[in-house]
Amino acid sequence: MSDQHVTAVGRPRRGRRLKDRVFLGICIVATTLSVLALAILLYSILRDGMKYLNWDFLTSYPSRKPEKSGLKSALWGSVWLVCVAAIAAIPLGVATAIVLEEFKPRQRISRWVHTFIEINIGNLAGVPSIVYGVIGLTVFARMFGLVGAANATMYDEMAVITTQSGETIKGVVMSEEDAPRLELIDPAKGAVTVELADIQRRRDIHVREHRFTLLDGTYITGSFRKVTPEQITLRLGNEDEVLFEPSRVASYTTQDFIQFGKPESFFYFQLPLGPSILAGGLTLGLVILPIVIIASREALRAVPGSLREGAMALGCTRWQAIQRIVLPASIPGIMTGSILAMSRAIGEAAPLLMAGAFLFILTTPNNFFDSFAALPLQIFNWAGRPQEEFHKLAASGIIVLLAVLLAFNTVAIIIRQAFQKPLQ
Amino acid sequence: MTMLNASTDPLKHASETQKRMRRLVERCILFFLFSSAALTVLITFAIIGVLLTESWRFFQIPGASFGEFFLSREWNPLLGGTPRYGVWPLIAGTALVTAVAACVSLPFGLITAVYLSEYAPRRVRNALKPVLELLAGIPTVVYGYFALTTITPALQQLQAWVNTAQKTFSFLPQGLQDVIFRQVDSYNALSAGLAIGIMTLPIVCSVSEDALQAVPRSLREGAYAVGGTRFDVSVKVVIPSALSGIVASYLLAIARAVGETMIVALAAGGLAQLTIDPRNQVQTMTGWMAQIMFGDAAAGGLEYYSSYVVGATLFFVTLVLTVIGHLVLLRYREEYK
Repeated sequence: MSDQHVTAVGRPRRGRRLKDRVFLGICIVATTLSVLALAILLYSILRDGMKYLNWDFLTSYPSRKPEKSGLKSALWGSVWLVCVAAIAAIPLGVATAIVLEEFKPRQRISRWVHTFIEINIGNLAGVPSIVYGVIGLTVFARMFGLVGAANATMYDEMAVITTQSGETIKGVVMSEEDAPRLELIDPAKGAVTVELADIQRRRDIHVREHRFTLLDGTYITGSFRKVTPEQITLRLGNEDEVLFEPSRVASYTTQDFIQFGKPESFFYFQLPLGPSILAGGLTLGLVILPIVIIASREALRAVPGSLREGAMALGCTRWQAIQRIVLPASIPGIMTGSILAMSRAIGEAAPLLMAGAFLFILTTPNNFFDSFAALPLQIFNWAGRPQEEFHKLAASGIIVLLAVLLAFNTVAIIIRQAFQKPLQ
Repeated sequence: MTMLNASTDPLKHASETQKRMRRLVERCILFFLFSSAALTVLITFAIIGVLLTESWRFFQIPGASFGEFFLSREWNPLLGGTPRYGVWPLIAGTALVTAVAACVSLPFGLITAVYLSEYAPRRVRNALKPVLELLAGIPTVVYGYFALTTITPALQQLQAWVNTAQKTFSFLPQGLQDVIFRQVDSYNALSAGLAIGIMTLPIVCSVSEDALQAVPRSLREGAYAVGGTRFDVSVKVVIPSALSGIVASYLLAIARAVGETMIVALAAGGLAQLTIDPRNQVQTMTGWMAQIMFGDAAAGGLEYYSSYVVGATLFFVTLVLTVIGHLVLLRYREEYK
């Protein structure tokens, strides 16, 4: 400190008081700006989003016409995804938290392992969610290409339609949405048109490889590049393409997944998981796992050591102490943390983008291997379109998303308030 | 532990088989607990393993080379002609967006943290905290929408207003005029960066505030005792003492900004170019991955594997940032224990 400061004991000198004032002003301006940013954000969303926000918006499927579009498939997709993510991540996360908090090792090597796991979880929390998406795609959706079709090329979307009369039609969807009929290209037969009213059930599947046996006995295997009623273009491997007319096709099969059970049933199972709810949900589970662990650790840490020591003094084993004393005491904290992690999962879009969500889907999921849409991705889709009206739809979707998040957070707060009793 | 169990077992009255069963169950539970902990480590290894092996496959494909990836300054795998895979335009795009974000979140986050910790009355604090939590809880796709539909038009308006002054400043050299007076692209790095800045502000604010709060009272009181104003105390005593925590908050926020996907996918555009003007559209590493995995790339193709290489680059950048951030955080926690 310089001399002039020493002489100014008592009241700070004017210059310094002025600086203090100015700095306070800067602080208030900066803080106001961040509040303002939130206000503008919410205002712009509310302003744009009210137009389409009504009950029909929640109960209709997406459409090419904004006024008929809705969130039904996205909402259901998100519900399924969050359930899968929670079932996968919460037990794992709580178990890891218990190991880290309750089993603090004394030997040097295990202490080293303990620290390593701790640091590792910090890192997992910092991994960008899109990287988890890549991992989900490779490990869950494609399973390294080890299972099923070995040389996986690309995913082709096909619809399997069951008509009212029980007939099954399979083909690549050409046009849909609001037309009274659906146009499909059946690679073996050419164009097929189905009246929408005739459709009893529709399921979208993703095929890796299509195998055509031609009339001359040769066969071609590849993925669709382009399909028209006149011509089929297949893509083989990396670069090559082959063209042929549907009239030359003798028979046609797809080689896709190792399947267990019928795709329509609730218990259907396939390997690899494909771009399915299970793959997407597990990927989201990876994203929220570190959050669950960190929150559960906090909750476990809040349980006083005296409770554990008391239990163990009465002869409980370590697990008995955890099961009967520590976990019941920390359950509200763990639940709060888990709910917050689930709300993070609902808003997460990037990993699903990678792990195979569909932007346009006209069904709600039936089993864990159905294709899915998700709330944030539906918003992304609408926001990414050039038309103004779709931006308004996106804003309506955002309002719904924020309302869901608000509900989750409210539940978390209520749990915290209701169960929080001081543990001393 | 085991000795204690043997002498005072609460299951004394249970039969021997029951006891054995319970012990077996307990073994299983402990096995489950420890294998979950091991799984978290396995996830990290899986991430590294997948990224490295798939990246290696990328470099095996004819047309891609290690040298080109790190030395070429062009990235146009999808356009006609020979595809070029030089990663620098993507890194530059990420850096530009992150720099804009840092200009918002670092100063504003720190100032808000100082205000909350040192100046704000309790009432203001209680009102501000939820606002910051709300900002932190908003999904990123919402920020992307905000950037695209609100920030970009506002920036274009601002630029149009600036452009009206061009006549007045016609004495400036033509080159400078071209730089100042131009259009803002409808996809641009600036709006994406601003949105990411708002998104990462709560991270900077909450981690720095924790660091500021951890500075012992005695230091503040000492500073006040020698006649410091609140400004002196905050800026000359508290901030330097909490510096490692603040640096950590900066690193964590930057790591988040680098890895952010949805905002750049919506607002930053899709043209990979080396530029320092944030009014241009840029392609970031995350933006590329989203575009290619979501778009029409065939699995097994060059562009498909390129997203793994880009992903690996992204992963290691964020890994370094978060590791340093956590190490710095550990240090400040030890300082004031």
